[in-house]
Amino acid sequence: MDLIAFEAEVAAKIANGEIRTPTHLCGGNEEQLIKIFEKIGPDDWVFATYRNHYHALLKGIPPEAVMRQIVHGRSMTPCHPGHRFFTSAIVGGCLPIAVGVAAAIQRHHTPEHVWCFVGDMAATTGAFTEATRYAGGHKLPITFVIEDNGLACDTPTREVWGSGDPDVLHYSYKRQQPHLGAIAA
Amino acid sequence: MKYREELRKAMALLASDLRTLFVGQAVRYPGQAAYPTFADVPMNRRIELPVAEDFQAGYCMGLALEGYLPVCFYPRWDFALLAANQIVNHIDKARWLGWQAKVIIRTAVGWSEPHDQGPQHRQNYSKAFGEMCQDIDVVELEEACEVMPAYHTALLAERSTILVERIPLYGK
Repeated sequence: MDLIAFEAEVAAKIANGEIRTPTHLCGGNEEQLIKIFEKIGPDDWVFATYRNHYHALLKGIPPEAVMRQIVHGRSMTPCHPGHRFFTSAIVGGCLPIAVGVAAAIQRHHTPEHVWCFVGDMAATTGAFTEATRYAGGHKLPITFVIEDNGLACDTPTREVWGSGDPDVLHYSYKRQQPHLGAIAA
Repeated sequence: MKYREELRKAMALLASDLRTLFVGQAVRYPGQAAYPTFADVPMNRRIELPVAEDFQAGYCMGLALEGYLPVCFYPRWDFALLAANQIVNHIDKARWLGWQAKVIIRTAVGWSEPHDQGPQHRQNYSKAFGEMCQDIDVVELEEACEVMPAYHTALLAERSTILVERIPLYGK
């Protein structure tokens, strides 16, 4: 499958008005994705972002099926349960869902793996911190892939967060009293 | 008929379905008012999560995608509000996205009389969530007799349900 040609076809359909819904085209990351997807098996789960056309194609979803969903306005959310391919238009939205799937796989004791792709802005959010910390802490079968183009749509990620370290104090103590008053008398 | 006993029976009913996992805060560790209602749920079916409400709802949806039936517990609506993103954007939209991912969400409302628990501990967002969600049933449990039928319906339903309990009745 020619990834670049596929996206060119999508771009042409946008240009001629056949597609009129929000569409985020891939491009410039072909080599990186092809290399990563060589490790991804057919039974593995893939969670992708709103920019997902390449990921869908590389997961093995037929190009006609991917294009059909794009033309029908589902560019950002082309889910394919049979291929275990999940996407969301919400930034970072896939993160805890992917972790939940990985937790289920761990309980099943089966060999599948979860691959969760996020953009560089999503990787700076609390959702990413929670998901990666929990997944690492519980040794879940999941790999997070940060796709860093420096932008969240058009917002420059590093510029808006700024630079520098926060001023944080931390102290520890032992609680002396239980949690009281939770039940009405 | 006592409210808390009915909740305990309802949790036992849910636990009789081997797909269920009980997920949230205070499901494995005592201290919260609802903890005794999990008494008949085997400990290996309870997953205590960090306090990360939105993460919890998404995590439950992930479990559901892999065939489990998560019972997602938030001690109060005020706390469940932080999970609005995952509840509204993913659990409610699961079938629209093409997935079967049913979650049973359990939460509760505090009280204002005779001693006000405060505006961050007694809100009822049932109506708001009912209006925001198109594919989740929101059911309020105001009396003990409503508890078992509501949880039985939620267990059999094809789509997700939010069940809203009353904390003042936990002691009765």
